[in-house]
Amino acid sequence: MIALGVLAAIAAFVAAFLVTWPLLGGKRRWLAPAAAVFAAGLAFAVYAIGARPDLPGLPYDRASAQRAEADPMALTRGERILRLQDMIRAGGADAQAFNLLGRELARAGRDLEAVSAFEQALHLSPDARIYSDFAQTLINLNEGRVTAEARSAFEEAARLDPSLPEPSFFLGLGAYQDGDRDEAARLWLLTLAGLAADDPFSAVIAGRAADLLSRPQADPALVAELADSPDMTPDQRIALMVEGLERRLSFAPDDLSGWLTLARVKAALGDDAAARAALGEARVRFGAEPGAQALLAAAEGALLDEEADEER
Amino acid sequence: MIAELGRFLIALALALSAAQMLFAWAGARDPGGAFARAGARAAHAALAALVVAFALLTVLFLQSDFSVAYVAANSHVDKPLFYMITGVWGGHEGSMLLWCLLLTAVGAGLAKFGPRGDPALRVRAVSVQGALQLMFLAFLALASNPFDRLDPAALEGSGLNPILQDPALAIHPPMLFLGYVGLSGVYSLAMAGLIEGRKGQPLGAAMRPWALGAWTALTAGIALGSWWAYYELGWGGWWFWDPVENASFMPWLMATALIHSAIASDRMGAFPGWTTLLALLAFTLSALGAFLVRSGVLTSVHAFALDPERGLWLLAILIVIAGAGLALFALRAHRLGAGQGFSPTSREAFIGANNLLLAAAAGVVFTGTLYPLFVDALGGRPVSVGAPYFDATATPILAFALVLMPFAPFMAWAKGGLRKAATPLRAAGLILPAAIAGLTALALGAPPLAALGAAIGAWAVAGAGLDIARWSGAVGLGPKLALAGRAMAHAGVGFIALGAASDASWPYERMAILAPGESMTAHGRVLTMQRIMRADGPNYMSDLAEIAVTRDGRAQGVLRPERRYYPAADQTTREVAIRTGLAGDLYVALGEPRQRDDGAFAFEVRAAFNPLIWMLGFGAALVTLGGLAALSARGVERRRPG
Repeated sequence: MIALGVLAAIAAFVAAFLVTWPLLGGKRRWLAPAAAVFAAGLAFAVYAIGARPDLPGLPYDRASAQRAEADPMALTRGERILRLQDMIRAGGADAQAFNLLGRELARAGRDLEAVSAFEQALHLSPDARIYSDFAQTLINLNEGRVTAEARSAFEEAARLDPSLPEPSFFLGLGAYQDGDRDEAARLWLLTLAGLAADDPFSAVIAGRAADLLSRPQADPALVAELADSPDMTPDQRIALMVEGLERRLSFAPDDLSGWLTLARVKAALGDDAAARAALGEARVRFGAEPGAQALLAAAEGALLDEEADEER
Repeated sequence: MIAELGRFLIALALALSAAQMLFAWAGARDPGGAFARAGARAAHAALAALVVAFALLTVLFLQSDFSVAYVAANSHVDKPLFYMITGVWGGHEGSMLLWCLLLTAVGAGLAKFGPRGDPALRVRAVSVQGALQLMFLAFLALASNPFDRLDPAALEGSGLNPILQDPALAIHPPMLFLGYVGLSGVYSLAMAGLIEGRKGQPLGAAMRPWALGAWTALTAGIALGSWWAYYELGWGGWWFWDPVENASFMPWLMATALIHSAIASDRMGAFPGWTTLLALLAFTLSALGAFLVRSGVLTSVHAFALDPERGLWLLAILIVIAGAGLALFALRAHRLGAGQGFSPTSREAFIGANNLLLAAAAGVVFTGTLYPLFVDALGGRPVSVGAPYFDATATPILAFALVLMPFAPFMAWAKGGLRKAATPLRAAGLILPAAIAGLTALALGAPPLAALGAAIGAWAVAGAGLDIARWSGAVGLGPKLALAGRAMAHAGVGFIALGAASDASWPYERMAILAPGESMTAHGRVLTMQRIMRADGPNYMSDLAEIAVTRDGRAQGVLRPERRYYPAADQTTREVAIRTGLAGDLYVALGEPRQRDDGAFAFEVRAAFNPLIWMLGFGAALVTLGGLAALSARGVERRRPG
C-alpha cells in the first residue's frame, strides 16, 4: 500500500509539474505550484471515491497456488472444482482427476461439463466406475431418460465389473421406461441379489424398484371398456380397474409387478388386509428368488408407512 | 496494486483534462504563450495516463485477476490469449475506458496536429476537447470504473460474451469508437470556430481531415459489425435496423454529409453554417449512440448495460454536448458568413442536394429509432419500429441520393453547366449499365423495387468508373489519390446497393434434420451429413458437422458448421460454414440436436443461398479504402513544398 501511495504521488506530481512548467516563466509564476497541487489533489480526491488500496490483487496463479496448498475438505465445491481444473490445466492430471472433476461438476449440476470430464477420464482409462458415473450424468442431462448412449455406457461398465450395482439398476430403469416391467424386475432382482443385506444401496435400490414396479399401469382393454361406459362414477372405475388386475393375476400369477401394484392399490383404497394378502402372495411366489426378499421388504415398508400416515 | 494504480491514473487523467480545458481556454488569447503550452502538455499527459491505465487493465486481464469486478465479469482463465486481450474492451467499463483513451488521443492530436495556420483555433479546440474529456472521464471514474474491486474476489470469471469471441468483433468496437470519438475532434473545432468567430471556409478546411478520418474508421467499424452479424448470428442477415445499428448509422450519415459539405466549404466557402451544424450534430449523434447502447433505454442485441444510473450520467452528458453546441450555433452562426452563391448545376448544388437527402435519411432513422422511447415516455403502449418502416422511408431517400451521386464529380464549382460537363455522353455511360443491371434482375425474377435497386447500384458504380477514367487528367500523387479515393468510395456504395438488392431479390432457405449419412437438397446442390464429431476448444464444447457438398455429382468441398457451448457463460453459439462463390454464398448453420424415436441423434441443418452477397463486403472495403486514399491524398498535399 505504501508503494502504491509513493508511485501514485510520484505520477501525480511529475505529471502536474511537467504540465505547469511553462507557467514558471510567466508573470504569474505562483500559478504553477498552485495548479500542480490542485491537479494532484483533484486526482487523489477522485481516486479516493471507491478506492480499495487495502485489497491486494489476486492474479489467478496466486489464487490457484493457495487452493493447491489448502486441505481439499476445507474448500467449497466450487473451489474443489477449480483445484481439479487447475491440476488438469497444469498437465499433471490422470483419469482419477478427470473422474473426480466429473463427479464434482455433476454434483454442482453442471452436467454437460461433467460429461466432458468423464469422457476425458474414459479416454485415459476405461474404468467401470467411470463408465457408470458418465452414464448417470447422461441420464441427468436427459431429464431422467436412460438414453441409448447411457445404456451402452452401463453395458460397458457391467462388462468391465459385473459386481457394480449401478449398471444393472439403471439398465433395469431403462427397460422400465421402455415399458418392459418383467425385464426391469429381473434386472433389479439381479442387482439386489448382488448386494449384501446390510449394504446401504440395497435398501435404496429396493425402495425405488418397489415404488416403480407397484405403480398402476394402464391396461388397454380396460381403458377401452371404461371409454364405453361414460356414466360410471370414479369409484366404480377404480373398482373395475382393480377387478381387472385381480382377474389378470388369477390367469397369470407369475407377475411380480402385478402383485406389488395390487397391494399398493388395495392399500390406497383402505383395504389393508387385501394389500397384505397380495404381498403375501408375492412372497410365496417370488420369495425364493435371489434379491426378492429385499424388494418385498421395501414394498412392505412402504405399505406400513402408508398405514401409519392414515392413522395419523 | 495494479488495479489501484489504474484507478488512480483514471483520476489523474481527469484532473489533467480539467487542466487542459482551463489552461487552453486561457491560452487561446495568446496561442504561443505559457497557458497554451501548458494546455497542450496537459492533453499529452492525460493521454499518457490513460495509455498506462489501459495497459494496466490489459495486464489484469492477462493475469486473470478476479479481484477486479470487470475482469471477473468479462474474462475466464481458459479464454484464448487473443480474446483475453480483446475482453479489455468487451464490456461496458473497458469500452468506456477505450472511448476515453481515444478522446484524449484526439485531444493530444488536436494539440499536435490541429490547424497549423490558425493557432488560436487549435488551442480553443484543445480546450473544448478537454471539456469533453472531463465529462466522459468523470462518468468513467465515478460510475463505470473498470478498476472497481470485488471483496472477496470471484473464484472464476464469467468469460467474455461468446458471440463477441470473434476476430471481426474484436476489431469492430475500436474502429467504431475511433469513428465516434474522431467526430469529437470535428465537434471541438466547430465549437472553437464559433467561439473564435471564424468564417466557414477556414473552419471547413480545419475540419476536413478529422471528419474524413473519423468517417473512414466509422465505415470500417460498421462494415465489420455487419460482416460479423452475417456469419456469427446464424441467420445470414447483415443489417437489421436494430436500434444500436441505427445509433451508428445516424452519425455515419451525418459524417458522410459533413465530408462532402466540408469540401464545398473549404474549396468555395459554401455552406458555412450547414457544415458547422453537421459537425456539431455528428458528434452529438455519436454521444446519443453511447447513451442508447449503455443506458438500457432501448432493447437491442447490442446493448450491454442496463443501468439507470449510468443512463442518467450519459443523458446529462448528451444534453450538455447537444445543448452547448446548438446554443452556441444559434448565437454565433451569423459570424460564419453567408457563403458564396452557386448555380443550380454546380458541384455545390449537387453536394447540397446530397447533403439534404443524407440529413433527411438520418432524420427518419432518428425518428424510427427513438419513437418507441417517446411513446414510452408519454405513457403509451410499448411499440417497436422495425425494418418495414426503415425500408419504406430511409431506403428511398438513400436511393435518390445514389442517383444524384455520380453527377457531382463532373460538375464545375460555382457556375457549373450541364453542357460543360458533357453530360449527355456520360449519362449514356451511366444509363446503359443501370438498364442492363435492372433488366437482368427483372428477367431473373427479382421484384421490381429490387430490380430498381440493382439499376441504381449499377448506375453508381458506372459513375465511379467514368470518374476514375479521368485518371490521366489528375496531375501529381495527391490529386490522383484524391480521385482514386472518391471513385473507390462512390463505387463501393454502388456495390453495396447491388449486393443489398440481390440479397433482397432471391431469398433462399431450406431446413432439414440430418443424421450422419442423410442428405438434403439446397439451391441445386446436395448436402450430405458425413459425420458429427466433438471439436472442443479451450473454453467451449463443440459439435462439429462435416457436410459434403456436391453439384451434379461433382464434389464441391466439405462445409464444417459448428454448434458451441460456452460453460462459463452458459451460452450456445453457432459457427456457420460459408462457401463463397461469384454467384453468392452457400450458408450452412448447425442447429439444435433432435432425438429421434429410435434414440438416435440428428441435427437441424439450415442451408441458405445469399446471391451476390460478396458485393456488400467488397463495397464496404472499397468505401473504406477510398477514405484511406483520400486521407493519404491530404497527407501528400500537406507535405508538398510550397
